[in-house]
Amino acid sequence: MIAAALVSLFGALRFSGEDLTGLTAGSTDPLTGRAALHAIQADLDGDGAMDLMLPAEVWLQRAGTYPRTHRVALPRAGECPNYDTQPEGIMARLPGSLEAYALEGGAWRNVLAQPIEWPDAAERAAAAEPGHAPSIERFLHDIDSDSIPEILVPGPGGVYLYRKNGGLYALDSVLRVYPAAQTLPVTLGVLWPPGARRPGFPVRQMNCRILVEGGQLTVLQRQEIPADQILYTITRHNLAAVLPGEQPGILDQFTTGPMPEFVAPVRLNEDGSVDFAGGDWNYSDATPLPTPIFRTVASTNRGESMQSIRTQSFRPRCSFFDVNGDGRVDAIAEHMKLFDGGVREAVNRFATQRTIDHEIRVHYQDEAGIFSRMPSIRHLVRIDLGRPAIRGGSQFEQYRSGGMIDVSGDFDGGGLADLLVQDRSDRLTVFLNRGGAFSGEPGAEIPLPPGARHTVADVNGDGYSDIVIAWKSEVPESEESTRVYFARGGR
Amino acid sequence: MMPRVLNAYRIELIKALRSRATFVGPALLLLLMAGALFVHPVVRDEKSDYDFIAYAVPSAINVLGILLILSHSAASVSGELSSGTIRLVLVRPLRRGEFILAKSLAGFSYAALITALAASSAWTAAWVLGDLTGVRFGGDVLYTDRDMRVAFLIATGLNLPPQFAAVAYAVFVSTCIRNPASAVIVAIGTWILVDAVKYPLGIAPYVFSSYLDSSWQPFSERCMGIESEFSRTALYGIGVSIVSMTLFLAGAVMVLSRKDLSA
Repeated sequence: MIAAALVSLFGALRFSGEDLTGLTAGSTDPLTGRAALHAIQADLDGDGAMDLMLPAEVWLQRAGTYPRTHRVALPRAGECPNYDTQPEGIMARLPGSLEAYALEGGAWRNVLAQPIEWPDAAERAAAAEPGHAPSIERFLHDIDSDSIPEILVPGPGGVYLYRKNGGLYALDSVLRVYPAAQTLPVTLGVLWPPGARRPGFPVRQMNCRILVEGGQLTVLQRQEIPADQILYTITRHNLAAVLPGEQPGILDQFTTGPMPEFVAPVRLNEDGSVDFAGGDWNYSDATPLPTPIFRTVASTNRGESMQSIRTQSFRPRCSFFDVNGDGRVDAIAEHMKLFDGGVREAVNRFATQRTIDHEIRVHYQDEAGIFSRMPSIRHLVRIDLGRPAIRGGSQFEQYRSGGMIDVSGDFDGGGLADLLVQDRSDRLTVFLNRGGAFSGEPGAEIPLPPGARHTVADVNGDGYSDIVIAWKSEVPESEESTRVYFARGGR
Repeated sequence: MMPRVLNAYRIELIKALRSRATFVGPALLLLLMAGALFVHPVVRDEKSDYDFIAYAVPSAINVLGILLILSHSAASVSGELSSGTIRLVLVRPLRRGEFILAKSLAGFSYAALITALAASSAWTAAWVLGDLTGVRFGGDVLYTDRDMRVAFLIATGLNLPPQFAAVAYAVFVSTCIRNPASAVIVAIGTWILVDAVKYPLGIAPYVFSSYLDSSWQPFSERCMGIESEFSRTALYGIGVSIVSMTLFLAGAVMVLSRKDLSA
């Protein structure tokens, strides 16, 4: 406590905590380091500050936080539409209609209301039934950069493109960008006895992911091949130049070589092409004690070759993030020192030591897309489990699941990723990145309620990463509480 | 001084070679290595078998080997004290401190023999039964066979100082306790006790036994495809081991200097 106060006194990092129950965050994506904040950030009232659109209401930002007095319920929320944001307003996809609202003086003004036929009409109608809730969906995309968003909705046969024409949206074309369906291996089924005969029939299946970025639509198709490997076929379409009623041209198409099945598409640098990365772990045979080995793999050349980094660790929370702020994503590996020193020492530590030494290793990515072979940054932290690991407990389970270390936040606005460590069950500690190394002294300490989980996200969009803490009280059936520690800068 | 020590050391070696008990430990070690082949089979499958070496050698040395070393060294001086032969040994022009040094050198040799036996049997098994063609992952050669052999030699060299410190510790105990069985029990029991409390007390970095296994870690990590290098921990381990060895040997010399051998 005194240390935290002293840290604040000498002008180190400052945080201010605000209770924001209702705001929730999902887990951090290990490939991007981004937390899934269950809200869309957008400036809805035109004051230049990021507001938050939650599924049922909008929180307006005032003075860097979200006071209860500035919350506005979303219009037509009872009908469970899909909402998306547009400049200074929102749009709602309702069953059979489309409505747009602008926020003026704390109230919604309807600026558009029209009937429209959606390709997912059945899903829209089902969503309006009791028991469902409104949701947030990204269906507005300004594909031709004319400041008027188009609507893209996946449907049967393709992606449905709606353009605004004469003040109303109308179906422009169905973009037939889906890949061809593939026939799956036929299962023989039961042939004997005749009374139980159930022949197998061939099944055709198509699945893909659609990514819309500005004027480009990318289709990512994953294909499983033998020996637990996969292929990806990536097709980039030009939406910006597509004329009304026409199909988009193909900018680029390639198929990767075989890759491990845990690899997924991701952006690792700014060269515009899709990269691939992932991680997996298993136990090693090279030691008498089963030692977890985590393998981080990445490809920055369209899957032609894979780079891998192995460490003694379970799955880390975040495997890739731009730590040094150079625009290229770096690889983050963690080394559990619990198993260091051989069988005897590992068993000794397991049985008698309350603390665990843990090393964070950052491998910078260079201009050629190659990750450094030896770590560019090594930082050792000591985590207090409260009891020896052999006795288990929630703290050890959280450590095993990679929930203690986060290298995805920039808390001081320095452009470099800082290190956040839950080094005790009741505390988070921030270590600032000093350019090439993390500081040995804590920059800030954040208290944690019992059983809380934490996520890093820039909630208010001010360029400083904030810390979202969620926990449930011991009262049964109680709502999950959320507190956000907003970083307020300082060094 | 050195000629007397070396002469006494030579006599110790001859005595050891003449004693059948000397060969029990190495025989047990070879049995353990043979048993390791059942737990971790080695076959010719075009996959390198350095992981068998990384598995078997540290296990043999740091589980069975250290017990053999402690037992051998803890019985070395106490055996002569209890039987009274130390009085005959010290009739020769040999100081008590030189006697301790000779015993310690014999213990060091025994430790080196255990290590060499474990290493050679593991490498022979892997070479005869398996493959030793470098460490490959994903089609890339991460480490060549030469790299692995050099890493193993370095690991073996770094493993010797903590073993020698263990010999010095056992010789010290052996000097303090007249009965060899009691000396062995106290040596091993104290070792286990210190191991159990060193982490809760926070003294693990200063105890030489913490570094017995750590020298093998870079070799094991390379077998797992982890980029690894010998870190400052190895140098720290050498320093702690040398300090421990000096203190224990000095203590043994001091205890023996004050001991009434006529009792």
